[in-house]
Amino acid sequence: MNSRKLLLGIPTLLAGILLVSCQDENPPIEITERRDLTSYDTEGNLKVAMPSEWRRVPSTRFRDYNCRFNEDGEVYISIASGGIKENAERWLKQFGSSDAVVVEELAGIESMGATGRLIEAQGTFQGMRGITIEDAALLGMMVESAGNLITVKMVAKADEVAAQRENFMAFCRSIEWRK
Amino acid sequence: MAKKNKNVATRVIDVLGGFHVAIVSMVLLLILTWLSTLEQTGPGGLYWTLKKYFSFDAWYVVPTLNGKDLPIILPGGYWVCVVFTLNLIFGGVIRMRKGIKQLPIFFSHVSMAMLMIGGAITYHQSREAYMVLPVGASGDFAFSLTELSVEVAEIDGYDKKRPYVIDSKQLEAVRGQVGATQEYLFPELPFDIRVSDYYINAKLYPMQGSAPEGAVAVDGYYAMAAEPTGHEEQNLSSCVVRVIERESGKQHEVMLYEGVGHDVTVTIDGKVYGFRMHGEVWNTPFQVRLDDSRGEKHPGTGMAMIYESDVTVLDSDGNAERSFKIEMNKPLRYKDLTFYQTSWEEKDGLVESGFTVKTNPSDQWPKYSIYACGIALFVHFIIKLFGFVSSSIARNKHD
Repeated sequence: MNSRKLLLGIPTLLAGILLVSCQDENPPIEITERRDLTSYDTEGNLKVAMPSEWRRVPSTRFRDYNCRFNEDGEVYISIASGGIKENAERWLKQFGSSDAVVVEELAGIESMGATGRLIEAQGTFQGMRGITIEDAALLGMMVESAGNLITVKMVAKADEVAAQRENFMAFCRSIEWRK
Repeated sequence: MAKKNKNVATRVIDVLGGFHVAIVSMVLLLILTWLSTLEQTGPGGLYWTLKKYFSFDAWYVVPTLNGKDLPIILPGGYWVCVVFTLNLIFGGVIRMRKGIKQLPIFFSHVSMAMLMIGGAITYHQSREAYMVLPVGASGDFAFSLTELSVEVAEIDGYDKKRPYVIDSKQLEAVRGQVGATQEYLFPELPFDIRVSDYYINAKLYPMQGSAPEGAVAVDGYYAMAAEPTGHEEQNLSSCVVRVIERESGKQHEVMLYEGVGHDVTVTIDGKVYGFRMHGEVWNTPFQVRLDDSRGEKHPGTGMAMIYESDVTVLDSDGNAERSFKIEMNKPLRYKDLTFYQTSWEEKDGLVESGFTVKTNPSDQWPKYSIYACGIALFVHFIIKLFGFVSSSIARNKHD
């Protein structure tokens, strides 16, 4: 082989290698296989219908059903201990209020076959993990059912909370114990 | 007489079916089994050690002992088994001298070849998953502890629809591959997805301020990669799924984590879609109810001394079909499935049994192969004994 052929051959070979290596290594995979539902797909003790404007995110230790909306809006269900009064006062404290709560004076909402109580606040929110939200609002619900206290808490900017009020009410009404 | 010229194929068969190949294969299998048994007690664990020594992809093995690679390279166990099987077929079946006296040996070779072929079928065709049942409960699914899937399902209010499944083989290209991305197309859904940042073992944290350097953060959570453990079932994987709406090109991101026991969702065109990462779920064709379970553990070790379970197989309507007692080494075999009891726990008065559920087309091949081989060798022994006694009597008469 003469040197001219060699000089032509090497770039051609390199270009070929480059072309091959530039190809998509993993071509797309089409997914059509589905499986039937089993009891595996039945999770948790609670049945909830989440509004489609919200998105569900991973649960944590104290958030049994955890949702977000918009950028940073949060709504979550907890199965808590204690009563409505002390929990409501703890929530209000996060908005700088130390007022005593009279449970009977709180607005009611039907949830889980009982009357739940709505808790609302506005101002600067001081969260447990050092999170501060200016011009925030709280819309919460607490209901006692089957010996448990179920709490639903929404915290976000005040205008976002106002916009999600109907969704929040529908969400609270949808909560059921799983049979 | 001139020696007959053999073509290449005949020569290859001659070598492959030869005595030397049989001896070398058996010695290699002995060494591989011995070394893998030692290695699986180390950080590699059983799952990864079996993959390293005996998987289809393992052409060669560098054994590790006490954390150090040994300065030897051995052929992969799968391929040694292939060579040994070919050796049995060529040498012990095809090329073997045929005659009435050789018939038992012929059958013993055939049965050993069937044992090896059964092993190959088990490797390629069997499926294994895990079912956990508390006493009184019934189960209609088993899940894999080692093979993960990503599932996508529409959620309509309370109801979840049948999920689409991306199985472990389809995830292989991104599994543990930093920087790798795999696209999955869903022609029946209004979006496609891209999976990336798939860590074999990770920890998921809610964000507090900003995520640490090197962490992958999505929607208030971040995943930190951790060193995978050799015990594959203890690893908790995570990945990032980018959901791309097909019409608008709008993108959403979700973080999936094996430790999260529910779907995380994205809403597209007013419909909610759930995404979840977990062990492959296997719908069993019948339900199993755990009626009672008894167990005992070796004091101080937590290892099972004895456990047994009374179970009832239920049909799709929940009616009892048959009752069984599962004991250690006495599995339940029913409709192509085998249930082995593999764990037993008692906590606060609640008893829970764990079953390995397996489907294996060659499940009983080893048993029948061993029976056939045993009978063939016994007959061969009797023929030899008869021949020896007959010739001894004849020799005595002659003397």
